[in-house]
Amino acid sequence: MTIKKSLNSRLTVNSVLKVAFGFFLTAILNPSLAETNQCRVTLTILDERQNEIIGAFIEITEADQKAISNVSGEANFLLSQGTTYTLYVSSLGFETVQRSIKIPTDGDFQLQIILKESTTSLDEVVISGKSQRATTKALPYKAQVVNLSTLRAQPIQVTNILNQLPGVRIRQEGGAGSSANIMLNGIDGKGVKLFVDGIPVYLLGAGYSLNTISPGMIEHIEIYKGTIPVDYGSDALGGVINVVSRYGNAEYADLSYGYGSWNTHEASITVRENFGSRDNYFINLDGFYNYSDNDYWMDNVDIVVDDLFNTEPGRARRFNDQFQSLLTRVQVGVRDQRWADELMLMSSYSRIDREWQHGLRAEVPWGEPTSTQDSWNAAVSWKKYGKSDRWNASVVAGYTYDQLHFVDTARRTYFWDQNFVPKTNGGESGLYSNGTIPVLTTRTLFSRESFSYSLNNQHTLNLTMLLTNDELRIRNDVLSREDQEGLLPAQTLLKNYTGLALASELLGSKLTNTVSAKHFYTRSSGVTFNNRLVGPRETNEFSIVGYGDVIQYQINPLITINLGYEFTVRQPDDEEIFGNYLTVAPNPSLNPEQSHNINFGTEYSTSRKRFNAGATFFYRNTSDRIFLNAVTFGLARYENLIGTQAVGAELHADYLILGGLRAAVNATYQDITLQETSPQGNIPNRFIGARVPNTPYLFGNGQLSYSRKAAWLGDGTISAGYDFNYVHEFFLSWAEDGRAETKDIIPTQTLHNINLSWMAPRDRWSIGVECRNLTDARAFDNFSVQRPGRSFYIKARLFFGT
Amino acid sequence: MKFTIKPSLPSALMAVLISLLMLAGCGDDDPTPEAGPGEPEGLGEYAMVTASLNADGQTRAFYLQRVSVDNTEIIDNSDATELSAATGAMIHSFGGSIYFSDYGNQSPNMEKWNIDESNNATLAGDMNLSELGFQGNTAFKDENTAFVGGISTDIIIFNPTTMQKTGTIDITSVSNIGTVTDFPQPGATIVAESVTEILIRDNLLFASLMPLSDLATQSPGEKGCSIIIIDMDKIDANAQGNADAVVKRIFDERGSATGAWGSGGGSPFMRLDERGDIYVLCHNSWAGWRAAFDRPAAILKIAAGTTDFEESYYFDLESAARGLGSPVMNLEYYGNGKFLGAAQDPSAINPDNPFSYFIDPIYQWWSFDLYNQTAEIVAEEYTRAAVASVTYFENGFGYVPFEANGEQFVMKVDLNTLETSKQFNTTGTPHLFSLQ
Repeated sequence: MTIKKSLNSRLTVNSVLKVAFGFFLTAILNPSLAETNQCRVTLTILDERQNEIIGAFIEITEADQKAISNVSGEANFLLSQGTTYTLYVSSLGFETVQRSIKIPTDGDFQLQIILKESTTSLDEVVISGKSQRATTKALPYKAQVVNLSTLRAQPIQVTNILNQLPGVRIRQEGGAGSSANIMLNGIDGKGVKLFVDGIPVYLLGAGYSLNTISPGMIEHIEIYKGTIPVDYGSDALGGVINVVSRYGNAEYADLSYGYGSWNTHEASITVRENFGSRDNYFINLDGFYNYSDNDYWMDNVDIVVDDLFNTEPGRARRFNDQFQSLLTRVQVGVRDQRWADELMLMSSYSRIDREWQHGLRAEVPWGEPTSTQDSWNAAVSWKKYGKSDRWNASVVAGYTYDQLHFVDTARRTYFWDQNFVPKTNGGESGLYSNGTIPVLTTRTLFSRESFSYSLNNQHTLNLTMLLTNDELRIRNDVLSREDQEGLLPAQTLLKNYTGLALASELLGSKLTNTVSAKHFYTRSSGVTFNNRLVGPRETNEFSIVGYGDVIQYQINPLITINLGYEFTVRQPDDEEIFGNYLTVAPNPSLNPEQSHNINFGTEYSTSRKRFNAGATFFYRNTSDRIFLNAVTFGLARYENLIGTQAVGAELHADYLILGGLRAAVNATYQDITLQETSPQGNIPNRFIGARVPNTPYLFGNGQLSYSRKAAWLGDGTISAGYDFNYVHEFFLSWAEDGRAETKDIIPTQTLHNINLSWMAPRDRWSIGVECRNLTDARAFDNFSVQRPGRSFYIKARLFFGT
Repeated sequence: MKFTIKPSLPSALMAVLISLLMLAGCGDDDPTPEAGPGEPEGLGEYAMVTASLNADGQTRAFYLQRVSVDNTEIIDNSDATELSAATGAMIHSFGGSIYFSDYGNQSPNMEKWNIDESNNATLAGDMNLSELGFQGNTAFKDENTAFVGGISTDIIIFNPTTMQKTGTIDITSVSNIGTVTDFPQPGATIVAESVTEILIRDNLLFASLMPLSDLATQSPGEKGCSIIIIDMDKIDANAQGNADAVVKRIFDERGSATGAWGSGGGSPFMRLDERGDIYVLCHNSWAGWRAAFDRPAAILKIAAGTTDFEESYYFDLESAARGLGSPVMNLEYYGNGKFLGAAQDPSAINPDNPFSYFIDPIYQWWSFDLYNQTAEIVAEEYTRAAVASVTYFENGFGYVPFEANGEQFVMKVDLNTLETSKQFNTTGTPHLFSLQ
């Protein structure tokens, strides 16, 4: 049964859009959106030459509202009439403005804020990474921040956005929705952690993953590489990507729908509404729906040419790769109470249905495997800020239920042209007798507490704790209960993280430093498994301390240097510790992956901020890296197999040529070499010092964008952009073995994308088009797994509110 | 699938930006391998395929080069041709070509490679064998006809010159799939039967079967050894079906199923001696078969001119070598009723590592005498015979692949005295083949 068939009776594109539209109409017609005891405040942030400043950070402390100025330099707030507020506006390259404003008792309120260019500020590659309140000391952690408010008009995917950043490389296993492996400065896989609003995404459910989440519900994305603030209470080895949901007190409804090649649909809706006598109660609704047939062409695959199943190389469409994801989230809360600046209850449900076209490689297609993943999450969060923001505290606690159901029972062997041969055993994804129907159920309880306290004007302490408890159950519906006896009791994995940091500003804020210590604790309890026999339950635990220091020094108003070191670990997750007891055996004695990370960077910016450039050099020494060690077709388990060293550099430059014309380019080189091997893995020592194969080592991006207000079109904003993505060829196997001209490679690839969008005044509506892979180049992330060719997308968006 | 490297304008543009990085980053490990320390002294009439474990710890890359067995220095892979970057299973030689079979990552195929005197290897054809699942060892009849089976009720007939499938042999009539055997536990059923090996004698094909009660664990499904007899005279190599060619299925409960998918790189488990007798190695070694079957590894015999197991012949290999409980793998026949086999030492298995059985050197090479039913140890050193056992014999010497403790080399065995010496080291698990 295909996804399309199975979902027709429950969920279709049309039905989802109908529901969304109905919901949307209800939302925008709701009179409460137009209540008048609140004043709609529009701030326009300009420089001294009256140019709009995009990405300025605005905070109104008394109302606990923050915003980032959009492409028109505007930010909107909903504030109480007749009340006086303190306004902070900051932007890289400009002096911070603090200003008191009194909100009038009637009508909307508009205000222009002029920022003076700073002689002491720092430029960042993209946008400065200040995601905390303005009172948080300027931390030296070097974050890249991508503001999506200027990108929402475009039909762009989050993975494509991130792939254009220096030091970031995302490899996918196919088209829309396919799993994404993120590499940050030489560390990839589970060493890179994804967060949503500071919560590890695995605690929230599958719908929040990078390959599914809608840009429509994201305010901005922060990327930390190598050295990671303690606020991110988790065990990231190489970096953190934090997706920040759209925030602020403004009321609005934002609806978008996109359509593109391969029958791809993308719809999203976001509604923010306040209610109550002081408008201090709120409800936020978010939802998105993605669907794609993913039936793009595969080149040079085996096509059957006769009834003996002889084959010739040819072209065929992917045929078992439909993907569909759905997420709904509701947040209800109250603000501005004496006991809480914000108390919020939230709940989300997500579902991912997908067909599986092939495994890691694509020589042999799979014709029928499907999976369904349902996740449900509920959480409560509380925030409180002390007087004058001397301290702040936040707590989030929640529960997540996740169930993954994979079905692979077909007794057929498929070819790429959809011909098939009947076979006696079932299943295409492995060697099974009657196929496999594993059902993995995970129940997770979590709590995260964070507390920050300013000792004085120079020093701030931050304490963050994250406690998670996973309860994992596995069954396989093709096996009898007797065959799984011993597996049915839940396996449990308890993790606790505690991070403490002291951030300091010295030498008149020219020098900022953060010293941190992190403690990781893990306790697992599960059955043992040896020679395919279930053994007694075994409990294992370990405890380890990480530490680090990052420092930033402003040499002069134009040049800043940044140096950071961190020793960090990644705790094995439940999949690695418990396996699946079917083809992957548990390994409760896995050691955590450990890494010594060093960053050194420098940034330069011209005084008028038209040009900025920077370079970062990084070093990673990672030991006990965990890989799946498959010694036979039916038996594998995760092992600490190798240690690696990554040395590299990334360069970036950004030039505002004139008006709204901007050019940017970046490049990353990373040399990842083998440093140690484990006797468990039999990787020969002769490769020590050799570059780890099947890993990109040279890649870069270029962008050219133009954006300006067009008076001749009603004062809206028109934007056009071009970008290219370059990845240098790399070998799949050790370079030392075999003549270069005979070796399998992932070839050099350059992909070109263009986009054009129109945004109506005040962002009321927009429409954007994009062409990806303009030259229809053959693109690969993994060997033989071809990525989509030239494709077209269009997206329309409506915005109601302030 | 191979890609060619083509320069492009964007590449050149990008190169301007990254030139500084390139200058800083170019090193010995950039993809232009330099000559290794041990170039072959002289190219001979032999092909060597080596297998190297990749950084993910589970996939292997395979390399082909021409070598001389007289070489004594290390032979690395720097001048070899990459056959596969990540998967491979069996290598066979026929007619001066190398046939490289792969079923890793569920992508069954077979490639034909030729290698010239200048050590240039070229792909001469390939064949998709997806319908076989995991294919067994290939049997070559002549330059136009070869046979290969797998987890299927069809044996594929193909032309090894053109690498085109030409016909099939339907063995459904003697299949026991679905039969309840109550082995290895009550209620067990044969869910699949794999044709693991085919031997050609006279006008008959002897196709060994591996009946399984569970594929994921490779658990046996039958307490005995089954072989299908097929009459080649009734086969139309250019037709599908050929069901009438199937003569019968023979069974002997004294030994386990024979053959093993890709064991040792394609080691044989049935051999024909100079008298026309077929010897069948019932190794009992994989997937807990030894414990389930509770019988020693043994040799059974199908005498010349007959099509049944000879009841009077039974060679208990374990008792002849290390003793009961030490299974024996591999049947590297070198003439006069003698073969090299690898005897397992269970005490060499690390009880703390569940993978020790698969990854540690736990085998010793022995020489067995099929006629006198005796055995003599060849080397005290332990090796990983499961990944390297295909042996080449010439002029009274055997060239045995050896892998232990990170060292890989070809061990030269004087077949008269059984004295051994290290002939040359390799970088990767070696498999030697004649190109004659």
